[in-house]
Amino acid sequence: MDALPAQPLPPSLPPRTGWRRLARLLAHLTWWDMVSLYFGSWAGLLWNFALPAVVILAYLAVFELTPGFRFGGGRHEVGGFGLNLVAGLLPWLLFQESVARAASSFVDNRHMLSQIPLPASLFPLANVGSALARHVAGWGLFAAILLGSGLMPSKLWLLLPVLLVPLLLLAGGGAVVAACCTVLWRDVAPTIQVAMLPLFFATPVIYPAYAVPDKLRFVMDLNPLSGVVVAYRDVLVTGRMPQLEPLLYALCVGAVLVALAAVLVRRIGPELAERL
Amino acid sequence: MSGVVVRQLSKRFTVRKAGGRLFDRPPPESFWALRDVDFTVPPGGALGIVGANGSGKSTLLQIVAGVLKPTTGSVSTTGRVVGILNPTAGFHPDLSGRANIHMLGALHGLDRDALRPRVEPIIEFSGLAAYIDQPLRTYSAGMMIRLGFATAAHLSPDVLVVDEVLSAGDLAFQRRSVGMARQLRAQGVTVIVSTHALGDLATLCDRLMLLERGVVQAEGSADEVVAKYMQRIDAEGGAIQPGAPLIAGARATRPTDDVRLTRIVVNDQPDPDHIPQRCGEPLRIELHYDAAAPVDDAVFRVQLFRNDGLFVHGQNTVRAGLDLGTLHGQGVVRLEYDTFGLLAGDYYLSVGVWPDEYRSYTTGEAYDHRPSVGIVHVTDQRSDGAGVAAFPARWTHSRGTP
Repeated sequence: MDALPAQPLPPSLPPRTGWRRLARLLAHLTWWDMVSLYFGSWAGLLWNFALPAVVILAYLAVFELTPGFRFGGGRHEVGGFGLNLVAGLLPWLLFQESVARAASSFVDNRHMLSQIPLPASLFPLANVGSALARHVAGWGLFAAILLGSGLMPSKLWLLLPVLLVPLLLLAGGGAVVAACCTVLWRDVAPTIQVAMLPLFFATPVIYPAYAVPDKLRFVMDLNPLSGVVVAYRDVLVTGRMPQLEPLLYALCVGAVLVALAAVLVRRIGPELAERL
Repeated sequence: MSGVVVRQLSKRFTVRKAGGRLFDRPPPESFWALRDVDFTVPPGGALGIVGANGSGKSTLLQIVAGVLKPTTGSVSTTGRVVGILNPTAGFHPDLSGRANIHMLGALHGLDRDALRPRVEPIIEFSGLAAYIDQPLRTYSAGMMIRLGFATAAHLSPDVLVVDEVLSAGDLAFQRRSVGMARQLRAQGVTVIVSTHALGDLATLCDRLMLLERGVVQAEGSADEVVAKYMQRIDAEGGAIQPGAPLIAGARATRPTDDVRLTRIVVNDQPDPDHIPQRCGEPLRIELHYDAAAPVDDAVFRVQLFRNDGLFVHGQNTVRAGLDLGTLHGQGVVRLEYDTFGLLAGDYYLSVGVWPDEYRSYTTGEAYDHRPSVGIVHVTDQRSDGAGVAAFPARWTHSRGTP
């Protein structure tokens, strides 16, 4: 028989349990989600930040430096088209990336879920985590652009972590619900991909909220992302205190999504590995 | 109580058929994969699970590993349960072998400090140092299994669950894996393993369990359960047929007609299909030949293979120093065992005449070769020992300082 390793095996370790273990697992899965996206490339992890940065800089270059683009036709305008667009894109991209990628996360990670007993919801939440890392990097880039333009970020920027709460509830709840529904019905993931385009146009990202005609305003009001996007723009660009009501609405819808996610995970969790 | 305790465990699967119209899908069907399975494995114990494909082995191991939930009943385990349940071992195909070791360790709850001293031993044990920084998608199935087992064995499991992968690596790695599993057992790790390599199970496990359509049919020592498993296979039409090739597609080598075997007599029975034989009793094989032309390089060979393909014994006239001279015409070559040393089981008897000993192994060219000409069905007594072979031996005991 071949010789076994000369060194003795390291001693047994007590397994971590509870919230600490979950937090560590989520951090690891988030890290691996970011690493695996561009594994094998020269820049590797940096692409996570380089690609969104390039998109943001491209939008700014096109819409800020090209004359004629005026956000909302110039009415009540603070900041150029590019800045307003990017301020709206930041929360939108976090939501869109999270939910669209998470929709197939259980299916994509079946090799792990059928091998290791893990809290399944960590996989879609890791997609949210990696989108959050890119989002926070986007804050830094946005601040750098403002400073480069001779503008100083306002004290309202301190509200950004508060705005993250409804946004993360929407993204996290939506991500887990999408992942669970895809396990039940495989058509859900591509449907979500398709649905993201109309949802994008139903959210005031590329236009100001006040530009929406009255007869279509209910669509924007029903969309919980609208309040978050408008609040981001208020904080990042216009320097206005965000309205509380739309944010509370987003918070409530987010809480409902999280509750629905919890019910779905409890319902299909025990059968998840065999359904994949 | 620690280790693994399984009580009244049953598992029902619901199968939803794919396809069909959107609102006219066929109703789902359900079946029981496991029914009322009950067993206990103490810390440091090892249980081997045998059974045909579809008998519920993998389902049981997935439930013990915590990946599947039982429909009824309970599974109680203590400590870290690490499972190798499929060849991919939970690895990410785009990450390198090294990155996958880190990921698997993290998913099993080891932080970076705990994992760091284990990485090099894992790589060394897997024997994949040259490939460890390549993406896993470039690995063969055998390499993935080696990395998976090496990683699992070094993650300080309290319970190690291994499904089928022990028999999947190359022979050297199989031996290392079984050795490692035994080493883990000695450290108090509970091992539950399923494999079709019955020899490995007998070596590693002190108890086996036979599953059939999800129901436990037998549980006990390796000898008892393997014997029962063989009986079941025979009863279901899987009995070894005399003359059937050991390997699918293998054929008897076409004789050259210079020397032909005309009759094979075993224990005075001419051309027997089934040869009853007791362990420890004599066995006599006569090979009757007819040499149509003078032949001065003939080698007669007798081989025995276990029913899982293991070559357990071989003997030939050159190795035994018997000078046959020039063969011409008819004659008989006899091989006699004073005490037949194989333990209970079924063994293929293969006989033949080759031009010379070396060519018989390299080119396979034979004057006459009869693979699996008959089945030697060996029975033994408890006192003969356990395993594959029996050796004349006796125990003694003396009290006090020798």
